[in-house]
Amino acid sequence: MTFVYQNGGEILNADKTKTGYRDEATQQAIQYAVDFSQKYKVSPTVQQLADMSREQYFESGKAAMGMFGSWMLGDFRSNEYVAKNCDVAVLPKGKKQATIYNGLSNAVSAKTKHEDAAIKFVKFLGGEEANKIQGEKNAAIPAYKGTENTWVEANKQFNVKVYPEMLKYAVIFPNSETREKWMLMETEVLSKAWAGEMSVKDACNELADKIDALLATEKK
Amino acid sequence: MMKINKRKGKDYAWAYAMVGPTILGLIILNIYPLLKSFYLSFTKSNGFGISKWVGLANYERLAADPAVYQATLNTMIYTVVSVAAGVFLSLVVAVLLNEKIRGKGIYRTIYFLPVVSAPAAIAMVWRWLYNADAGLFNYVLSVFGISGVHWLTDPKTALMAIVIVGVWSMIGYNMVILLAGLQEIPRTYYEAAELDGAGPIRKFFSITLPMISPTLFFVVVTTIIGSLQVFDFIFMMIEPSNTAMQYTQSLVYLFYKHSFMMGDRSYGAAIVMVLLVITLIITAIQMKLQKKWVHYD
Repeated sequence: MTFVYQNGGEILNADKTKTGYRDEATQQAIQYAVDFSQKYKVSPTVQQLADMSREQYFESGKAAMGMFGSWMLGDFRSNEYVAKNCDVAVLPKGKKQATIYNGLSNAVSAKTKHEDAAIKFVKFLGGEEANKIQGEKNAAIPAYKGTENTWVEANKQFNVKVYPEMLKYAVIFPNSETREKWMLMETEVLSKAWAGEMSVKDACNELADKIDALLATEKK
Repeated sequence: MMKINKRKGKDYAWAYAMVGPTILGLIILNIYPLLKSFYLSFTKSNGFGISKWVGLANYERLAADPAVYQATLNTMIYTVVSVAAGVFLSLVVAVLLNEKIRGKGIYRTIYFLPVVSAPAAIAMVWRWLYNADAGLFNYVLSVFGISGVHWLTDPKTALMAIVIVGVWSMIGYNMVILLAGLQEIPRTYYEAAELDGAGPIRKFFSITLPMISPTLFFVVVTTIIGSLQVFDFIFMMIEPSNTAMQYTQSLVYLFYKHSFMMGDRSYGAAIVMVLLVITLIITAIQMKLQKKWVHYD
């Protein structure tokens, strides 16, 4: 997905009515990613990844690099090999720099009996103090500007300051009402392209038809 | 006369009190969800649990969904192979462990162990055994010059790989039930047969098999129902990104996928109704057929 945005493509358009899987730039980027395992054979194939996960490849020293979210740091820290031999760096760039980010959010039930208290609590969670605690306790990168340093401090053994640095050109995770439905379709259809059973172009077009049909059912 | 009726009423009250907890459990855990699923299958739900009546729309979608046919086929193949192999092996093991051999307690324990192990843990170990690059099976095969069997990712072998795990984990349970049936057979029958000069094979087919047929029938029925519901091993051993998934997923997996991974509980409910109908038909056929081979006296 990062490759897609680095290549100027997109997964979902701005008003969430059409997917970007038909775009030339998107398909080109996916082809680029598929070629790593299919053409140049420098990356595990999708079949191999079904037997052993990306994390396991990386943690056992069989893969030299991988793109992992900041939430993986906890696991990596406790892995002896990674803690000793690996570090974090800014993502390689394509046509331009890009990465994906996403936020965590809190919600209040519409039927709550304690609306005021709940809203007050949610406000606190979004405030500076709560974000500081989140960073210090290493839960996730705090979203409140200026508090990300508490998280960087809490993860000293890796060069994690690059994560907040990349926010400058980060793209928010493409999301929509039926996301959980089409996310699984992405996995199923694209893995055929990854396995070489289908061309990237055909897989992307098939996927685009399916996702567009779902997007059409969403209430805008 | 009055007295007897009163007495009878009291007996009934006791009987209902005794079966009450079971009936209550059945209603809460089985019958209510069944009716609810049946209702859900005629609705369309969104993420927040608000649903509206859509009639047969889910069933129309289902009839046009190739994944449903493939999953039905997968479930059938799984059931036929695992029941045939599983029941046969269970019977063989049970008969052998019913003989007077040394350490049969230990053997019985070993065969029963998979039953007390958590399916998730079993699946993780088997997954490693099947691993194409680092697994034990491929290592052993490589000694004989066969290499690179992609057990879980090749569509041709993935379902059979799941069947093997299913059979392995069912043998212990079926064995115990069959053993109980075997021990009911009076020794005198065998002694009489021996006097008449019957060999072990003849004794098996003329005494053991007919005598154990009610137990065997029970084992076959429960194993078939259990196999039709195969889910846990597929869920644990096959990733959604695995291209062998469509040739492996069972109806229950498909139900899970639509209900909980994609959040469409109505369509999931329709799928599970198909499974219910299949199960009912197969069980009804068995009830009819049992007259031909099950001996109750």
